[in-house]
Amino acid sequence: MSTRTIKVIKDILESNDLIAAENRSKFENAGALAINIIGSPGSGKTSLILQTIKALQHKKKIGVIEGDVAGDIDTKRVLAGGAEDAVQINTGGNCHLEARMVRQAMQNINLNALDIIFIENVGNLICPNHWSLGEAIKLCLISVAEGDDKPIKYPEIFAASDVIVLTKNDLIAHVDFNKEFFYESLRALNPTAPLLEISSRTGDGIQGWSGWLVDQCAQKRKS
Amino acid sequence: MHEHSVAKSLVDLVEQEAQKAAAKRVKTIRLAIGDQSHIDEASLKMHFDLIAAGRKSISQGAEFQISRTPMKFRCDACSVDFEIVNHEFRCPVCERSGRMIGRGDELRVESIEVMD
Ligand SMILES: Nc1nc2c(ncn2[C@@H]2O[C@H](COP(=O)(O)OP(=O)(O)OP(=O)(O)O)[C@@H](O)[C@H]2O)c(=O)[nH]1
Ligand SMILES: [Mg+2]
Ligand SMILES: [Zn+2]
Repeated sequence: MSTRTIKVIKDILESNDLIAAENRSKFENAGALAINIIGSPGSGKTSLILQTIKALQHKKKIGVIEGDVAGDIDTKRVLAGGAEDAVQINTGGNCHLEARMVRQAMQNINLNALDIIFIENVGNLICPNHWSLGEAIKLCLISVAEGDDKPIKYPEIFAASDVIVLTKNDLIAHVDFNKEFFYESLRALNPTAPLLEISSRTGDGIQGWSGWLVDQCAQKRKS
Repeated sequence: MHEHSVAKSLVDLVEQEAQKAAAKRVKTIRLAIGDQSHIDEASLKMHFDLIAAGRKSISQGAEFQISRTPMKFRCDACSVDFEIVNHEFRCPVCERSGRMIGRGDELRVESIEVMD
């Protein structure tokens, strides 16, 4: 038997990336800005979505794809909070969403009726990063309650994100969160991504955040 | 944590490449895996073997050769490149904060060795 070497040089997750590319063109053709929200369990992902829906209620139609290991609590919350449309994905134990799951969920949502679609990933700072979903914006959400060392402990997601939102700012006096250190380590990993500080509890910073989002919608339309 | 999903994609990809080359069997798979991919090599191999065996794949029994890549930083002031060790992103010489120059997030098949 003879052996030979075949050059491959392909990403192992290429099959996911191909489906993600299909999703991306569907979002773009429908004019819906897709945002993949990645953050720890309980960091405040659904709360951010709810605040955004409220802040933009007469301006933007917002849909949500909710990814959870099980259950549909968050989907009910965003529908009650005024989401135009929402669908639940249950990953059945999987620690992250994959493009094929989002493709399936997209069949149950009228993208043409939406300006913005949030995809709330499974609460996790590691795995979701490797599976592109076809989003226009990868958003990393971190709350002050998780500690200022999250960028250096989970550097990859902070390096790969298009925007970083620091939430639960109202709790800053109650936790040891050194903002200077947080900013320094974050900038070493990602010098350019905008960083927005908010509190979903008090509404602080929500205007700035939703303004940024509206700008992104406008830029998307132009390009 | 996510080795099963990665292993499944890996079996698909290797099978596809081997078939394209009209090979009979895959002997070796050369992989580039970044530290930030958070892949446990033993777990990846175990999942790979189970999936390949389940499908009676031509990649069944293939050995892995893995090269690891770390996350890399550079200190522009000292022209020093360094890896993130114990979460330290500051320059080992001047202790100023470094600039990331390599993510170490590879999950790539470089080549496969096949038998005819
Ligand atoms: N004080 C304070 N609490 C907040 C804030 N945002 C969210 N919370 C609380 O944090 C908890 C978790 O919030 P969720 O929005 O459900 O978090 P999540 O990231 O969607 O959680 P999972 O989907 O379960 O991973 C809830 O009790 C919220 O009320 C904030 O800005 N300030
Ligand atoms: Mg939630
Ligand atoms: Zn230096």
